[in-house]
Amino acid sequence: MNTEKEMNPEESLAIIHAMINKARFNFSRGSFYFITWGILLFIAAIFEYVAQQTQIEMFYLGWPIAGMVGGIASGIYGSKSRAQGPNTHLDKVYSAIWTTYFFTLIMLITSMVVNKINPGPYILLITGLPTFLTGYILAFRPLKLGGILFWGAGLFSMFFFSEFTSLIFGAVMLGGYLVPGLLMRQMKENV
Amino acid sequence: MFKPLDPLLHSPLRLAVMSLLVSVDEADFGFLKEKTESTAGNLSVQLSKLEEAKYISVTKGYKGKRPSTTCKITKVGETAFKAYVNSLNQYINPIK
Repeated sequence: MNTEKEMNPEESLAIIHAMINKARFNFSRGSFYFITWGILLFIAAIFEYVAQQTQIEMFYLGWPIAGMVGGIASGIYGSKSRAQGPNTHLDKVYSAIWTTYFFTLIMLITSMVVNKINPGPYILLITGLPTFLTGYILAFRPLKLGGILFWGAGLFSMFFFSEFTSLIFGAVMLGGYLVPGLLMRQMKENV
Repeated sequence: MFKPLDPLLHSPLRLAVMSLLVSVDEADFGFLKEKTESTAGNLSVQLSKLEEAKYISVTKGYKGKRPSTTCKITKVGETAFKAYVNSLNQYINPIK
């Protein structure tokens, strides 16, 4: 880049625009989390359904295992990503949204399990919020649709077919996380 | 009446650096070099000019065993950048 070249105002604005675009949210980096959690939670949901059908006592075991594997993978990937590039202001917003969601989720699951209530439909309902918000801020339609899918499936499984909540949960993980994640990964970096 | 453009920012490389730094918490030298497609020597000189004007702060340290230089925009830099963008808008849309 030429240092002291004479610029007109349009050229200056073009540089500002180009550089701000280069520092935008990295779609391919963000896709990792949706793909990883989509696959892990899908497997946990299917495991729960099959285990319940076959009378396996510890049918819930898939959830903590998926949570641990996903947590460790996300932590390692997050620290590697930070080494590769700086945090943008948008990265901080996403981090705040998903961290507050995570703590709400833990409190919700704990209180429901203690009260012997199936948390599945409620998890789906609150997962719609960060998913939709992320899609809205990124102007990325597949994630917005994913958020709506979570809300719809949450409401549906609250009132109908509660015995199939695990299956519904698994299907929504594919449509709400995995598919948007794969579409994100296809997008060029820093689009 | 047009406001004069800040000569420190009205230079392609320094403007590029400031535009990157306004978007992130902080950035290391390698990131700035890659995104601005500049040479290490040239970038280093321009960073020094921005630091002297207190538009950015530069911290030198180590990441593991490797030396690292981290840059962050200051409040003075943010204000100057906003004023520069406002002036540009006046030049481009003089009626407003």
